[in-house]
Amino acid sequence: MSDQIPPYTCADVQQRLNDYLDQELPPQETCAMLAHIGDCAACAALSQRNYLALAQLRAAVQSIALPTGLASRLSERLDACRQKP
Amino acid sequence: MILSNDQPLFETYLAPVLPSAYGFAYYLLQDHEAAETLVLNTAQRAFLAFPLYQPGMNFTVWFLKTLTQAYLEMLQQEDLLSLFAFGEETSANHLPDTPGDEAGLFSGNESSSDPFASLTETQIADAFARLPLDIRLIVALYFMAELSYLQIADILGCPARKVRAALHRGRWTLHHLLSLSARTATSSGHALSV
Repeated sequence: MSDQIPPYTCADVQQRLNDYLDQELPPQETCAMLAHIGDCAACAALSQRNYLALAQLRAAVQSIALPTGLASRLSERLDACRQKP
Repeated sequence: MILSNDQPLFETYLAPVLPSAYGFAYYLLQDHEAAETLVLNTAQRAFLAFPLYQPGMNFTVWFLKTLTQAYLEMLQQEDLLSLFAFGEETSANHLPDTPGDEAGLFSGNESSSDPFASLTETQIADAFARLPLDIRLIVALYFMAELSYLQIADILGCPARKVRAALHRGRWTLHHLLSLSARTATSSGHALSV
Protein backbone atom coordinates (compact mmCIF):
# COMPACT_ATOMS: atom_id res chain seq x y z
CA MET A 1 0.00 0.00 0.00
CA SER A 2 1.34 3.42 -0.92
CA ASP A 3 1.80 6.06 1.79
CA GLN A 4 1.36 8.83 -0.78
CA ILE A 5 -1.21 11.47 0.02
CA PRO A 6 -3.08 13.50 -2.63
CA PRO A 7 -1.64 16.95 -3.49
CA TYR A 8 -2.74 19.71 -1.15
CA THR A 9 -5.45 22.15 -2.25
CA CYS A 10 -5.88 25.72 -0.99
CA ALA A 11 -8.55 24.41 1.39
CA ASP A 12 -6.08 21.85 2.79
CA VAL A 13 -3.56 24.62 3.40
CA GLN A 14 -6.11 26.73 5.25
CA GLN A 15 -7.17 23.77 7.35
CA ARG A 16 -3.65 22.56 8.23
CA LEU A 17 -1.57 25.74 8.26
CA ASN A 18 -1.59 26.04 12.05
CA ASP A 19 -0.35 22.46 12.42
CA TYR A 20 2.37 23.19 9.87
CA LEU A 21 3.48 26.29 11.81
CA ASP A 22 3.63 24.18 14.97
CA GLN A 23 5.69 21.50 13.19
CA GLU A 24 2.97 18.99 14.02
CA LEU A 25 2.31 17.81 10.45
CA PRO A 26 3.57 14.34 9.50
CA PRO A 27 6.51 14.49 7.02
CA GLN A 28 4.46 13.58 3.94
CA GLU A 29 1.88 16.25 4.68
CA THR A 30 4.67 18.76 5.27
CA CYS A 31 5.97 17.94 1.78
CA ALA A 32 2.47 18.36 0.32
CA MET A 33 2.08 21.68 2.15
CA LEU A 34 5.45 22.97 0.88
CA ALA A 35 4.72 21.82 -2.67
CA HIS A 36 1.40 23.70 -2.71
CA ILE A 37 2.86 26.84 -1.13
CA GLY A 38 5.61 26.78 -3.76
CA ASP A 39 3.03 26.86 -6.55
CA CYS A 40 0.30 29.09 -5.10
CA ALA A 41 1.03 32.76 -4.45
CA ALA A 42 -2.10 33.28 -2.34
CA CYS A 43 -1.29 30.38 0.00
CA ALA A 44 2.36 31.44 0.15
CA ALA A 45 1.23 34.92 1.26
CA LEU A 46 -1.14 33.43 3.85
CA SER A 47 1.60 31.20 5.19
CA GLN A 48 4.07 34.08 5.37
CA ARG A 49 1.52 36.31 7.11
CA ASN A 50 0.69 33.73 9.77
CA TYR A 51 4.35 32.84 10.28
CA LEU A 52 5.20 36.49 10.85
CA ALA A 53 2.25 36.98 13.22
CA LEU A 54 3.24 33.94 15.24
CA ALA A 55 6.88 35.04 15.46
CA GLN A 56 5.85 38.49 16.69
CA LEU A 57 3.43 37.01 19.20
CA ARG A 58 6.10 34.61 20.47
CA ALA A 59 8.65 37.41 20.87
CA ALA A 60 6.17 39.58 22.79
CA VAL A 61 5.04 36.80 25.14
CA GLN A 62 8.58 35.52 25.78
CA SER A 63 9.93 39.00 26.56
CA ILE A 64 9.12 38.62 30.24
CA ALA A 65 12.19 38.87 32.49
CA LEU A 66 13.01 36.73 35.52
CA PRO A 67 13.05 38.75 38.76
CA THR A 68 16.55 39.52 40.03
CA GLY A 69 17.67 37.09 42.71
CA LEU A 70 14.99 34.47 42.07
CA ALA A 71 17.56 31.69 41.69
CA SER A 72 19.18 32.49 45.05
CA ARG A 73 15.81 32.74 46.81
CA LEU A 74 15.01 29.36 45.32
CA SER A 75 18.24 27.86 46.69
CA GLU A 76 17.47 29.27 50.13
CA ARG A 77 13.99 27.77 50.04
CA LEU A 78 15.35 24.35 49.09
CA ASP A 79 18.08 24.58 51.76
CA ALA A 80 15.44 25.26 54.40
CA CYS A 81 13.25 22.48 53.07
CA ARG A 82 16.13 19.96 53.17
CA GLN A 83 17.16 20.95 56.69
CA LYS A 84 13.67 20.47 58.13
CA PRO A 85 13.59 17.39 60.38
CA MET B 1 13.82 10.69 51.11
CA ILE B 2 15.85 13.69 49.93
CA LEU B 3 19.60 13.08 49.81
CA SER B 4 22.19 15.81 50.34
CA ASN B 5 23.40 15.61 46.73
CA ASP B 6 19.85 15.84 45.34
CA GLN B 7 19.70 19.62 45.70
CA PRO B 8 22.52 20.53 43.29
CA LEU B 9 21.15 18.04 40.75
CA PHE B 10 17.60 19.36 41.16
CA GLU B 11 18.79 22.96 40.74
CA THR B 12 20.78 21.99 37.65
CA TYR B 13 17.65 20.49 36.08
CA LEU B 14 15.49 23.42 37.16
CA ALA B 15 17.72 26.30 36.02
CA PRO B 16 16.86 26.12 32.30
CA VAL B 17 13.14 25.60 33.07
CA LEU B 18 12.89 28.55 35.45
CA PRO B 19 12.24 31.29 32.82
CA SER B 20 9.47 29.21 31.24
CA ALA B 21 7.96 28.34 34.61
CA TYR B 22 8.05 31.93 35.81
CA GLY B 23 6.56 33.32 32.60
CA PHE B 24 3.83 30.68 32.67
CA ALA B 25 3.02 31.53 36.30
CA TYR B 26 3.03 35.26 35.56
CA TYR B 27 0.55 34.94 32.69
CA LEU B 28 -1.72 32.81 34.86
CA LEU B 29 -1.65 35.22 37.79
CA GLN B 30 -0.84 38.61 36.18
CA ASP B 31 1.23 39.54 39.22
CA HIS B 32 4.99 39.23 39.71
CA GLU B 33 4.89 38.58 43.45
CA ALA B 34 2.20 35.93 43.14
CA ALA B 35 4.05 34.32 40.23
CA GLU B 36 7.25 34.08 42.26
CA THR B 37 5.38 32.57 45.21
CA LEU B 38 3.80 29.96 42.94
CA VAL B 39 7.17 29.08 41.39
CA LEU B 40 8.91 28.80 44.78
CA ASN B 41 6.09 26.70 46.25
CA THR B 42 6.15 24.47 43.18
CA ALA B 43 9.93 24.11 43.36
CA GLN B 44 9.68 23.03 46.99
CA ARG B 45 6.96 20.54 46.17
CA ALA B 46 8.86 19.15 43.18
CA PHE B 47 12.05 18.94 45.24
CA LEU B 48 10.30 16.84 47.88
CA ALA B 49 8.97 14.59 45.12
CA PHE B 50 12.34 14.50 43.34
CA PRO B 51 13.16 10.94 44.55
CA LEU B 52 10.24 9.84 42.34
CA TYR B 53 11.71 11.55 39.29
CA GLN B 54 13.24 8.98 36.93
CA PRO B 55 16.16 9.81 34.65
CA GLY B 56 14.87 9.97 31.09
CA MET B 57 11.62 11.70 32.07
CA ASN B 58 11.15 15.15 30.57
CA PHE B 59 11.93 17.41 33.55
CA THR B 60 10.25 20.45 31.95
CA VAL B 61 6.97 18.57 31.51
CA TRP B 62 7.25 17.06 35.00
CA PHE B 63 7.89 20.44 36.65
CA LEU B 64 5.22 22.33 34.69
CA LYS B 65 2.71 19.60 35.51
CA THR B 66 3.51 20.12 39.20
CA LEU B 67 3.13 23.89 38.77
CA THR B 68 -0.22 23.48 36.99
CA GLN B 69 -1.50 21.20 39.76
CA ALA B 70 -0.40 23.73 42.39
CA TYR B 71 -2.17 26.52 40.48
CA LEU B 72 -5.41 24.54 40.10
CA GLU B 73 -5.34 23.63 43.81
CA MET B 74 -4.93 27.32 44.60
CA LEU B 75 -8.03 28.10 42.50
CA GLN B 76 -9.88 25.31 44.27
CA GLN B 77 -9.01 26.78 47.66
CA GLU B 78 -10.29 30.14 46.47
CA ASP B 79 -13.44 28.46 45.14
CA LEU B 80 -12.62 29.61 41.62
CA LEU B 81 -12.23 26.21 40.02
CA SER B 82 -15.83 26.28 38.79
CA LEU B 83 -14.63 28.82 36.22
CA PHE B 84 -12.44 26.12 34.79
CA ALA B 85 -14.04 23.48 32.57
CA PHE B 86 -11.48 21.02 31.39
CA GLY B 87 -13.44 18.30 29.71
CA GLU B 88 -13.51 17.22 26.09
CA GLU B 89 -15.05 20.46 24.91
CA THR B 90 -13.07 23.61 24.46
CA SER B 91 -14.37 27.10 25.03
CA ALA B 92 -12.48 28.17 21.89
CA ASN B 93 -15.12 27.56 19.25
CA HIS B 94 -16.28 31.17 19.13
CA LEU B 95 -12.74 32.56 18.93
CA PRO B 96 -11.01 33.72 15.72
CA ASP B 97 -8.81 31.27 13.80
CA THR B 98 -6.64 33.83 12.00
CA PRO B 99 -4.32 36.58 13.29
CA GLY B 100 -5.71 40.06 13.81
CA ASP B 101 -4.67 43.13 11.84
CA GLU B 102 -5.84 45.84 14.19
CA ALA B 103 -2.29 47.20 14.48
CA GLY B 104 -1.86 47.34 10.70
CA LEU B 105 0.59 44.47 10.86
CA PHE B 106 -0.13 43.29 7.36
CA SER B 107 -1.18 46.49 5.67
CA GLY B 108 1.74 48.71 6.61
CA ASN B 109 5.48 48.38 6.67
CA GLU B 110 5.48 44.91 8.14
CA SER B 111 9.10 43.96 7.61
CA SER B 112 10.72 46.78 9.55
CA SER B 113 8.46 47.20 12.56
CA ASP B 114 7.26 45.03 15.39
CA PRO B 115 3.77 46.22 16.32
CA PHE B 116 4.06 44.64 19.78
CA ALA B 117 7.48 46.04 20.68
CA SER B 118 6.02 48.91 22.68
CA LEU B 119 3.67 46.75 24.76
CA THR B 120 4.45 46.36 28.45
CA GLU B 121 4.43 43.10 30.44
CA THR B 122 1.25 44.31 32.11
CA GLN B 123 -0.51 44.86 28.78
CA ILE B 124 0.46 41.39 27.61
CA ALA B 125 -0.65 39.87 30.93
CA ASP B 126 -3.96 41.76 30.72
CA ALA B 127 -4.56 40.25 27.28
CA PHE B 128 -3.90 36.77 28.71
CA ALA B 129 -6.36 37.48 31.50
CA ARG B 130 -9.11 38.03 28.92
CA LEU B 131 -8.72 34.50 27.56
CA PRO B 132 -10.92 31.76 29.08
CA LEU B 133 -8.93 29.91 31.74
CA ASP B 134 -8.51 26.63 29.83
CA ILE B 135 -7.31 28.51 26.74
CA ARG B 136 -5.01 30.70 28.85
CA LEU B 137 -3.27 27.65 30.30
CA ILE B 138 -2.72 26.10 26.87
CA VAL B 139 -1.53 29.28 25.15
CA ALA B 140 0.80 30.22 28.03
CA LEU B 141 2.33 26.71 28.07
CA TYR B 142 2.77 26.76 24.31
CA PHE B 143 4.60 30.07 24.18
CA MET B 144 6.60 29.85 27.39
CA ALA B 145 7.76 26.24 27.16
CA GLU B 146 7.63 25.49 23.40
CA LEU B 147 5.96 22.13 24.01
CA SER B 148 4.18 19.82 21.56
CA TYR B 149 0.40 19.29 21.62
CA LEU B 150 0.97 15.90 23.28
CA GLN B 151 3.22 17.32 25.99
CA ILE B 152 0.70 20.08 26.79
CA ALA B 153 -2.07 17.48 26.85
CA ASP B 154 0.01 15.39 29.26
CA ILE B 155 0.48 18.37 31.60
CA LEU B 156 -3.20 19.30 31.57
CA GLY B 157 -4.63 15.78 31.49
CA CYS B 158 -6.79 16.45 28.44
CA PRO B 159 -6.89 15.10 24.86
CA ALA B 160 -4.30 16.46 22.40
CA ARG B 161 -7.10 17.38 19.98
CA LYS B 162 -8.47 19.76 22.58
CA VAL B 163 -5.03 21.36 22.96
CA ARG B 164 -4.82 21.73 19.18
CA ALA B 165 -8.25 23.34 18.82
CA ALA B 166 -7.80 25.62 21.82
CA LEU B 167 -4.30 26.67 20.81
CA HIS B 168 -5.13 27.48 17.20
CA ARG B 169 -7.90 29.85 18.17
CA GLY B 170 -6.52 31.02 21.50
CA ARG B 171 -3.26 32.34 20.14
CA TRP B 172 -4.97 34.32 17.37
CA THR B 173 -7.37 35.73 19.94
CA LEU B 174 -4.31 36.84 21.92
CA HIS B 175 -2.95 38.34 18.70
CA HIS B 176 -6.18 40.31 18.19
CA LEU B 177 -6.09 41.55 21.80
CA LEU B 178 -2.44 42.62 21.59
CA SER B 179 -3.06 44.26 18.22
CA LEU B 180 -5.87 46.29 19.79
CA SER B 181 -3.61 47.29 22.70
CA ALA B 182 -0.84 48.27 20.30
CA ARG B 183 -3.22 50.31 18.16
CA THR B 184 -4.58 52.08 21.27
CA ALA B 185 -1.02 52.83 22.42
CA THR B 186 -0.12 54.17 18.97
CA SER B 187 -3.25 56.35 18.79
CA SER B 188 -2.51 57.76 22.26
CA GLY B 189 1.06 58.47 21.22
CA HIS B 190 -0.10 60.28 18.10
CA ALA B 191 -2.65 62.26 20.08
CA LEU B 192 0.02 63.33 22.57
CA SER B 193 2.46 64.36 19.87
CA VAL B 194 -0.07 66.56 17.99
